[in-house]
Amino acid sequence: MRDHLRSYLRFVAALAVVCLLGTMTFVLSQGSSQAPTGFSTPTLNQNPGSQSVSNGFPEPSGDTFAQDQSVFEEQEGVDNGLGPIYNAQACVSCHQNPVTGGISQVTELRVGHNDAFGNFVNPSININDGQSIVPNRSLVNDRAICAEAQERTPGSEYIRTFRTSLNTLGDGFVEAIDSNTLAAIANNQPSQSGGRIAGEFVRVPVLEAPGHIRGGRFGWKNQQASLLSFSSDAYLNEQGISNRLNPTDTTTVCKTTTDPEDHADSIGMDDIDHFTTFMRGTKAPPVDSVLLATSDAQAGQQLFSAIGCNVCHVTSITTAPPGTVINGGAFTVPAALGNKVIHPYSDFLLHNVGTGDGIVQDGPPDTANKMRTAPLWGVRTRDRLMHDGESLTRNEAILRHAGEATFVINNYRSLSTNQKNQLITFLNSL
Amino acid sequence: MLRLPGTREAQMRIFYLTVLGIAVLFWSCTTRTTLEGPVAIRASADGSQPAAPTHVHSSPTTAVEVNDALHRIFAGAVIATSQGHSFTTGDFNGDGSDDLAVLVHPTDSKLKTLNHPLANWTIQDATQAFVPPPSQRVIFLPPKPEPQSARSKELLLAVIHGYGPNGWRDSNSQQAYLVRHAGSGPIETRPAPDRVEGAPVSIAHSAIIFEPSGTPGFLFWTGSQYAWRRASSN
Repeated sequence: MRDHLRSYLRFVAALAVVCLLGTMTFVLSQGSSQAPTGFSTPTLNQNPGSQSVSNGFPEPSGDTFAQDQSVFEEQEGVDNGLGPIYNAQACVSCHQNPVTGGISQVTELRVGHNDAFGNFVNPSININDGQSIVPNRSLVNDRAICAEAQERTPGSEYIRTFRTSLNTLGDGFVEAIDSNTLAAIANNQPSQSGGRIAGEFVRVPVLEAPGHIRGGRFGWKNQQASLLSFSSDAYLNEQGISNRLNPTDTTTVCKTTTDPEDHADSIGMDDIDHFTTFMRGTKAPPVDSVLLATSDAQAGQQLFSAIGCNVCHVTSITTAPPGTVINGGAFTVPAALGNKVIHPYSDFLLHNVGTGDGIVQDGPPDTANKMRTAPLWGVRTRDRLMHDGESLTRNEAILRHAGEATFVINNYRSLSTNQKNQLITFLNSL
Repeated sequence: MLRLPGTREAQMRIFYLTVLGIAVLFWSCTTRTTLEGPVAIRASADGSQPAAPTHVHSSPTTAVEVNDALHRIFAGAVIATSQGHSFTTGDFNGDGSDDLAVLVHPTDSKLKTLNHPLANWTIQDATQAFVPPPSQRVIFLPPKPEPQSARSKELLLAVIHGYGPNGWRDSNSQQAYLVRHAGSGPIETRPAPDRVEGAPVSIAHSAIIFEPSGTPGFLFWTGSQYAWRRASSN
């Protein structure tokens, strides 16, 4: 009897230990932690990626973070599919400042026109002396592999805008934000702002999961929801390299290669897979902790929220828990990206702040004059501001906000010069 | 009372297997994958805007109202000129709200305030506004323009962007530009031409600030600033 009792007690005790361990594991897996930050992907001429440090994103078998960065920096040529029309030879050409994956001053040109009903229409641009056409694209490539293929903006396309290159550092965390989180931010904004601010949440196709749509978050118009879709789209439209998700080049003029031009390497990964893995592995842009610790920056941080900048430039977002299946079932959030608190200073929603460019991409027609809230993480590395890079000082950029942002900017106008300086000091620490 | 069958060794084996089984079960429950769920969006946040301004025809503008608006924004740092036709109204930036354009001079004693880098208005040069050239193969962005500052007695065009149905009369209407080299006046509002090279589509059905005398020309909103164009060039 005593043996049985002892055995029973031992069983109960062991069960309690297991439950305790399990509960701790569960709590730890559900509890959020700060996302790692750092400009930790230096652009090197020798051994690219060799000094880089990832956020811990698990690499596919046989792959390394350095290898991913190396492919991200790889210069393409005509012999491996560059063009016929393109903007740059490598991802890093536009995403480099201050390290590989960051921003740049490089802009792309988008054009179009409106129909009789006021709806935006993508242009179809004649090339090769009118013998060929690049149909239905607002993007106009600035380069071509031969003169015959060069695109030129027709005078009829009177809607024209430049768009600056965006940061990709930390985008793995942005991809891992549950769409419901973004929708919840959008739903809360009217009540936060007396009905004056209402971000628009748009859903866009996920190329790697045909038939699925997801909350857009990448690009000035939120035209992409997944990093693989973004990589594929950019490889085709910015470098002219067709790939498995965008298998046909935009024109065949001067083309000598066969579609798709992106092929799997010795470990079975296409270039677009390496780009995606690189971006998913990057750390979030860090703050200038020395400047941020100053009393001026601290006061500026308080003012940032006090006057309402944080309604759209959201200071903290927590990514989806590890194990969450996103991108239409094509990607599962790993522990390195899940339950991470990021500080993007963006809501990843579209707003009309009076700076719209008139162009519609994947969203509904009313997005013509809306732009994605620019994430302010890493903004201290930018000297040309707003979507077109036309605002050169922080003050000019702030004053350029109108529309939905009017009451917030009027709060800014009411600040003293000292307070404005504090706010700008805070921005310069991001 | 729990009573495990068999020998003590067998009992221990069953016991540890049971514990292991429970642990595995618990682990699988706590680490299960979840799908990003369907998104619930409130109608007002999915494609609509709060109280989008609708263009209303404003009542005739008086000099008193103009001076009030100038004072609201510039707090005495500029003063309206006394010449005729020195102000005009219209939707210059295409947002559906009435804007105000006024020819002004800086107040000499407040030049420092006017030109302060953190002033609540933007000083710009209409002749240096960047407008993308049409039909050009590769467009290079121009070098950064010099910071602009107003000079004593200089003629400037103050443009105050309206807000909501009340336009420039609304107390929330505070976005303002001081445009240098914007002509010498007088000024009037005219419908925008069918197409203005470099202008955003939003001004297509709005207005321009026209200067019929001297070298006839007009100012139009590029999306970030006001640009000057000779009337004959469009």
